[in-house]
Amino acid sequence: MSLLSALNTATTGLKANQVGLDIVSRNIANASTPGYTKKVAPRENALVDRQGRGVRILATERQVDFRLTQNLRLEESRSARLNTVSAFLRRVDEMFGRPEQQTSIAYGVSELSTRMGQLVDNSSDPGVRAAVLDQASALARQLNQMSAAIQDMRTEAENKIGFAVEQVNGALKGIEALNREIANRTAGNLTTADLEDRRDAHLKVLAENLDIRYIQRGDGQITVFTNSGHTLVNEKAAQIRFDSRGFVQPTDQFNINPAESGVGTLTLVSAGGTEVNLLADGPPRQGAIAGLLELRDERLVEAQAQLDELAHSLALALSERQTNFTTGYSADFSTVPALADGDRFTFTYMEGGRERTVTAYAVTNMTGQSLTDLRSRVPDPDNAVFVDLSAMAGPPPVTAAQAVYNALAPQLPAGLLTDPGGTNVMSVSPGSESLVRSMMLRSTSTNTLEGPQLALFADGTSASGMQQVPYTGSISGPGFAKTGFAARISVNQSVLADDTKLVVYDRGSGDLAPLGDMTRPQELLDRLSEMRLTYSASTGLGQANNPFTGTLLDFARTVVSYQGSEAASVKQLTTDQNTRTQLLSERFESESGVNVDDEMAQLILLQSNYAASAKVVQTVNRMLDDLMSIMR
Amino acid sequence: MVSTFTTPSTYQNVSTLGQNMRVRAGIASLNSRILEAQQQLASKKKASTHGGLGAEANLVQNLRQKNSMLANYIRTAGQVGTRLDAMQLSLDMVQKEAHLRSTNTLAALNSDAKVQLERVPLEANGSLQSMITALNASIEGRSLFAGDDTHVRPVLDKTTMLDGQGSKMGLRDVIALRGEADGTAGTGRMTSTAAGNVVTLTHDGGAFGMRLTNVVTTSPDAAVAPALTVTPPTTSAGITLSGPMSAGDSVDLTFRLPDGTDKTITMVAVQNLPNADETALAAKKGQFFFTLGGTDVATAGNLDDGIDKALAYVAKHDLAGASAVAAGNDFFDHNQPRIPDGPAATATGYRIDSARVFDWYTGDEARQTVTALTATPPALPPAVGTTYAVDAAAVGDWAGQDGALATWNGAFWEFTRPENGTEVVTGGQLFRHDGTAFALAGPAPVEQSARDTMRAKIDDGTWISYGMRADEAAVRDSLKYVALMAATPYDKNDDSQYRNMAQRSVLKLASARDSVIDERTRMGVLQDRVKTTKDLHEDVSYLTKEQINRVENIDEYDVAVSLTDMLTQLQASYQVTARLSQLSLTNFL
Repeated sequence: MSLLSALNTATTGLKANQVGLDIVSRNIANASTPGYTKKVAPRENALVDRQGRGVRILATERQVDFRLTQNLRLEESRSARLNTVSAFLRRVDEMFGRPEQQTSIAYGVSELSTRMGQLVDNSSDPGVRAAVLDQASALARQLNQMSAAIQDMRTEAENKIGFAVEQVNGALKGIEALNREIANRTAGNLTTADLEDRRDAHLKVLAENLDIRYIQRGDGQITVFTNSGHTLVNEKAAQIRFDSRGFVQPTDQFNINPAESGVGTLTLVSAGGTEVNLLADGPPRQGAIAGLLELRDERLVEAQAQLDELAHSLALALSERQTNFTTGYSADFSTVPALADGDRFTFTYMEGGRERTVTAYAVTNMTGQSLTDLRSRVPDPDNAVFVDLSAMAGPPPVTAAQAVYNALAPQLPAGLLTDPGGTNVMSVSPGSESLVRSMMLRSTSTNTLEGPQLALFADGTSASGMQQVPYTGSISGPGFAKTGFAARISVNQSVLADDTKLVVYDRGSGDLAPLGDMTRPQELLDRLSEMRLTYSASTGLGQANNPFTGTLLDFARTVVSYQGSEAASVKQLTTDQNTRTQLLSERFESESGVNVDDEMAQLILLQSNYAASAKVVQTVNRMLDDLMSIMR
Repeated sequence: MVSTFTTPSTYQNVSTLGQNMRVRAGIASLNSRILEAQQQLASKKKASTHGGLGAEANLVQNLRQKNSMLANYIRTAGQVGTRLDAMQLSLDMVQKEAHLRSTNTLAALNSDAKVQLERVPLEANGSLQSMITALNASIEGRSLFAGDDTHVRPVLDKTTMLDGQGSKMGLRDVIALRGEADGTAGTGRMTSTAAGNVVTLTHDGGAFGMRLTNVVTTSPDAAVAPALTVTPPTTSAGITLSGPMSAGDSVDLTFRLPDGTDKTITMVAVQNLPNADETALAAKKGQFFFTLGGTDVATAGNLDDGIDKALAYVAKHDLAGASAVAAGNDFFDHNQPRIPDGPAATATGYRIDSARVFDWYTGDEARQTVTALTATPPALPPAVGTTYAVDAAAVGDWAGQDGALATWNGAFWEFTRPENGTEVVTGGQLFRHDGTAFALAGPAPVEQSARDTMRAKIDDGTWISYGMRADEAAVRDSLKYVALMAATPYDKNDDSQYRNMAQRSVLKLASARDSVIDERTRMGVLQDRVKTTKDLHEDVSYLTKEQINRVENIDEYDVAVSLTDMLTQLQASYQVTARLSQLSLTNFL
């Protein structure tokens, strides 16, 4: 023991307190920096030769609970997904306008039926006819605009996925670099606290976009995986590739096969260069990218499907020619126009005490058309059969009645229908008449003279420079006519050019109805407001085995409230999730953040320790002086 | 080196940033709630989107849709109400005029003062004018009595209807032409000839004039067998006299007149003809005399002379009146008026010729429906009024009538030659005449009943039919008989035709008036229904609006109170924040 060792010890104290002061000053300076964690410099009793020789400063550390941060990242992923979805859905909800202003699509349909009602009472009034056409045009335009807005949102989602992927790639590269640095410093027993903060910031970016899992290894490096277990960063960082399509239309649908997909696909390119289709093999379930994918491929597609279904039903309901074959329980197909793609023959009968309706849909060509695909295009797939028109032409040629019979018979109890045997008349077997409720052929009338139905709406808007063609709701072919019809629906130009067509039709043998005749407006009104239709389950309303049935007004209304309530429920979920995330984030801040008061108290301690150590040095100095004076 | 600055039970530590963020988040959420409340207060609405209304969004849309539908029904009911009122007014006019003409004419007929009857045609003229005006009434540019052909004036103006225009005939011309065809100036297309002891009455064939339908002989002395034998009446009937006849024996001859009524005259055998006054008086009662000759042949000659005189009398009186009424039927009761085919004096059938005669009703009307298009007549007798379209190579009674319309009038077939373009419907098919025969034109057009030409939706799934056509029986008959009274020529010196026509018309006019009253009653029931429905809709609409308000609108008091609460809370938060900021250790160093 010597004075000099005391002096040395006091000097280590001075040094230690200087380091402590440095840390406190950094903590205070960064008190309001997000992501900054409180740093501490641990110290220990310095032992030299098994004897205390003062204090030793260890590498600066941070106070972070690893499990807590992992949880926080998970919650952040969830928040990010819901926030993204909620923001888009709010826009969809706002698209329908304020409830009291009656601007939603449902009021558009309702207003059309109101004006049609006025036309019934005043069919010879040109002003009322013009008003009906105005409203029909407004309704068509509204559908066009909403459809465009939805596709804009899908395009936006597509682009945002692109940005998000860039962010993710940047973060992955950052983590790779930091991992390496941290490993080096750990090996050199140097502080890595600030680097870890930096790496956490990158992880946060990753988590906000994707749901990730990560583990910390002994050397301080972390390995990051996707939720499905694909490695994102190990020694090297993988990269994600996104082939953005830039512009998305209703017909651009996601397909698991990237070559057939109308929208972009995520591909994970591992450090070694192997590629994995992320969307096929474990797509992200949380994070902004998951939210954007959900919007692009599900929610907005569903919203578009609802608009399309509305446009489709609206056009077909007004234009369909209904031929009822109730008399004589036989359907004579020679009395009706030749079957065309999209025509539907409905057969209703009693089975086990319950009514069942089987519908035969006419399709142009079944060859090369998957049955599943066709089924997905009709509202009641469980009770749908298809009549192949190309097969009817032969050879050998088959009559319409025979073709319909061939399609229907396997679905029906044996012997309910009699085989037409090559004739064009399909009859109910004698004795089974009491079981049959109705036989009806619904086909699309495109001639405005034919009545009382009227093809008020057609396919193709002048705005988009498309040639206007009659809308027949045809279901076969690679492009389903219904998809994106909301974007194309418009008022039939021949009716626009001559509004008397709302009233005048050929009552038979060239006898034109006078302008005062209200048969046609009356029929159109009933079809708009009272006719019950069945809607496809692809709209998200109703199920395939129990489809949504109701009037056009009912359907339009349900679409609006469905979108409204979706927005509201996601908003609620988002609020809940954000609260959870915030609580966790507060907890993290509380455990790892800087408290200025705490730091000030620490400062006082350090200050007094420093003063004390200085005092020791001063005292030793004086003692040494005393010693020197003895020597003198 | 974790500080135990805060109580360990909550957080181990409070970071300054965390504390700061927490305060900021708290205040921000309070602020956004205050903003929302302010918006609610300003707009008086709970939410600005459908989503904001939550589960009630569907309800409120449903209610609003319901309300707009109700508003539409109320508007429709109001409009229909106005139209029904206007129709009632018109029908009231028709009823009133028909009533006046029937009562006044009846009084005139029963009066001895000729001057009364003289006024009837003048008054009828005025009434006809009023009725036509009433039936041509339009509201909002829609004719009320034209079915669904609402843009035409359905009834011809009075002058054209009565007098025609240029070479096209009106009712007066049709009456004159029909009179000529019926032989009112002669013996009604009947001739009586005596050959030996047989007197033969012969009709010259065809649909005009009067036809003998029955001959009955009576003798005052029941014990003596009638001295006459009669061959069954067809177009000609022979009366054979054989054996002694005594004074008082009589022959009743019954004629079918063109308006479908029967006239029976009695030929009474007398020793000497009574004087002129007695003869005239008896003629009014339908009694005519012939003297008994020494032999059957002489008596037959006398009977023939007597019948000739009687025929001339009946032709001038009863037949002339009936002919005018028949002309009225020809003019008013058919889709296209029909006139004698060819030179009137020798015509045997009718024809349709729209170039020669005006159609009084130009509104919407149903096409004529015929029982069938066939070449073979049905078994006799079919129901009166049954009409067939005669196909080519017709046989039996229809022989030679290819392409004509054959109507059974209760006694014989009346044939009408259609013009090019005449359409008839049978068995769901439309046939159009091409000038020689009916040719299939296609499926029959949809025909609506007069009521269904105007329909209104006054409730969900509830339609009312309120259309009317001026050619419906009640209205048409009122118009027809008043028009006849106006159009039949009145001759001051000899009012026999006019008087006879008036007698035939007046009772039918009264019954037509009653039918108009029936129509008005029916319409009144409809009016009441429309009004009741409208009142109901107005009540429901009011309740619906209330309900919408309840869902969409805020309770201002509620929102104001909660806003005050939140403001207080915000103020408190600010104070606490301010105090906390003072409470830093830095201030004490």
